[in-house]
Amino acid sequence: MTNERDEQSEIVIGVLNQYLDYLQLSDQDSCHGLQAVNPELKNLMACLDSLERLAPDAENANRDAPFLGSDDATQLLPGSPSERSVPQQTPEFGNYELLEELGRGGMGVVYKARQKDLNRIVALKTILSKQFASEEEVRRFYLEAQAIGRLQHSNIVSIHEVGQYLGQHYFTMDYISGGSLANPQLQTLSETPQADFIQVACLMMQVSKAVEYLHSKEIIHRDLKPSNILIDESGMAYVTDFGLAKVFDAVHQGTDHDAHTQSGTIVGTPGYMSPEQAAGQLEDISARSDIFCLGIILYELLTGVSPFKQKSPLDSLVSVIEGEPPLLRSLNPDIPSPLELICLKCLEKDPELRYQSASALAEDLECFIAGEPIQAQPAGFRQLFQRWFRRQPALVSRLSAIVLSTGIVQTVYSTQGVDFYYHLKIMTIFCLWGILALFFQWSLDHFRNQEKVRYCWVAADVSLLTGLLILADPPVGILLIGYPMLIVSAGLFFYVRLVYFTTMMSLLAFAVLVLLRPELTGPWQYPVIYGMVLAILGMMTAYQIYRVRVLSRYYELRRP
Amino acid sequence: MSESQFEALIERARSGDRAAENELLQKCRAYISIIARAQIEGWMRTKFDASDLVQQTLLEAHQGFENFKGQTEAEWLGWLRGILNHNTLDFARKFQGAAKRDVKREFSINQVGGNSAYSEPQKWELKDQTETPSRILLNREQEILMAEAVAQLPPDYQEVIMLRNLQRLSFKEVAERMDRSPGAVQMLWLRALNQLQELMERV
Repeated sequence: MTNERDEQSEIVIGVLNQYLDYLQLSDQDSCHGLQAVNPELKNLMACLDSLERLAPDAENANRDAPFLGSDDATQLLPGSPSERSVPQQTPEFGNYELLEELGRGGMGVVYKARQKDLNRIVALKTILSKQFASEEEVRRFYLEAQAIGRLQHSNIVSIHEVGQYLGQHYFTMDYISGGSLANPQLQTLSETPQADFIQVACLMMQVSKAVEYLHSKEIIHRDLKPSNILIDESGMAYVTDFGLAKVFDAVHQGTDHDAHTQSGTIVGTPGYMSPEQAAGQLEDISARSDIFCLGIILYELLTGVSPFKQKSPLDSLVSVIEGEPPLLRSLNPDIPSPLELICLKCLEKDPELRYQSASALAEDLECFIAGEPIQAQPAGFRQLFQRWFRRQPALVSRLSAIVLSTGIVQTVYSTQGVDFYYHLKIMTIFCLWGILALFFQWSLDHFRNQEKVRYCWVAADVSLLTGLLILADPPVGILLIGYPMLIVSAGLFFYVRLVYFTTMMSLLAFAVLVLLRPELTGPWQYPVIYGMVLAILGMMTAYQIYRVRVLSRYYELRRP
Repeated sequence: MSESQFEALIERARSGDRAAENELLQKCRAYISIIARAQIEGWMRTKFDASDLVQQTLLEAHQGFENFKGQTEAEWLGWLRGILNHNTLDFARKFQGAAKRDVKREFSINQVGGNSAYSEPQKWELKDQTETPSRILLNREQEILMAEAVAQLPPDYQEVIMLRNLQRLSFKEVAERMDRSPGAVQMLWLRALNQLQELMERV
């Protein structure tokens, strides 16, 4: 009995000691991991937390050291900073020695490690335990990971072992020495001549073949991005982290029958997702979603710019769902047009229009390398227009509205023969409006301060609309619908302030209009009601955007 | 106990309530003591009676109270830590004896404090602000309670906590320092932690 209790105590001491080590290294992730697998020790860990906060600040001690003179400091203060932050030379992790940290991701930390018994170098990835909700999920994870461990492909990083050490789950895999595609040194490809485009195509062909192999095993990667593609010294590409997203998915689906955590969960990395992933339409995610991600990687390799990466995750999601990146050849005219076609075909919003399999993509890339005609065809007129709309929605929507309106005005003029000068004035304003729209779009693309351009654009819209309304023949009552439309369309930029600004501008313009056109003040309360409705509409639109922003922030925080 | 209790005490003390100021200072005695000990015992690698330092710090805090401009307990503790810090540095210098006096040091003594100790509260507050944000957000009152709890532990429990947690020594070093086997030290540590947890729950 006492023996048993001793054993129990030893385990507890081991875990707590490990926890304290992590705490003293400020390794939050690992701390959370240990907390999650050892819920019964939560209170004791909280004690350790409090005690750690009482401990003299390592930073403080270092900062104070100069006051004593450097020679004194070495005598007085315990240990140099480097000694203090790394208590052991090479931290041990069960059968592994952790040599260096390679990176951190959503799931945990990756180390370069030495497997002691086989004396080989591997990559060891720890898995944060908060990924698991129950023992059952852990068991399922192991089963799935073992299944993945059986995969064999020359362009795939294989998994060696799945295990647990001090409550921390981990797995090990091949260590690839060259680094990932996200590595800056590999990004210079686009600056050098033709041969490098072939090299990029070669690389992507290898990746496509690996992805094809995964698909043949019914695994969808779902998190393909440059940092998940490793390159060794000889230039071979390896796909890593594959299928784990799906594994987790399978794990969750098995236990969550009501699926409330499932529907609409966004898996992946903002900026490196397919539209169906970004929209949370999990049932629509297929092998073709991975094709889209391959397109993103190809785009980034060719131009050095990530096509959908924006400042906030929300903007990235919006951009991937409805935005269109700049044409590749507009960023770098040297890019061969077949490669651009291949890339754009991968990046089609509609999965039906993309390559239907990774092997089809690999074949087209092979054709390009061999200099043969490729399968991807230039887009038709409708597709071109759609892409243009996605790329410059603000411009296209305004131009369409202007063209439609001028069409109607022209028809009326031709059939009913109104006063020529009146017609000229109206048409001039429309023309001005169209030219200004083109100018503002150009500024948006070329000026760094996009915010100011948007404000100016909105202000110009309101002024021109007001000008039109001042000139137009009475009664203009119905045409006042223009202001609410401007407010709502300003909301499409997702900036609360821009909406308020538009609302204020509209109210002002409306006040001017009322002063200049007395017939609008028939019964005096009508303009007042109209003004209030405008204000409320602005607030409602702003509120909607605010809510979306809050969700976006929540999503950002949840991402480790 | 809530955060507002401390803030209320600070408020009252500022408006001249002597009893409140006294209570405020006494509540932090264990806290100051444990931090001072952790720091100095870490330097000297031996046990140390911090009561003089604590007394000095509380006295200076009392004398310089009008210089404290903050409102929250976090600011208050940061301010106290600032005073304590310069006192421990003073002590460290004395402890080293009248070793080499150079110009640089004269300068630094004037900088850190000495007679100008409580005429420079701004400086201490600045110091506190450089703490990590997570630290500022945390409930600092927990620290005071924890310090009190540690003070209530039996001496050998206190020592093992002091060495392992506050001085961040490994168990091997702790065992050498306490002259016991590493296994015994670890068991002692676990028992100390368990008792601490009970004490914390009782509050």
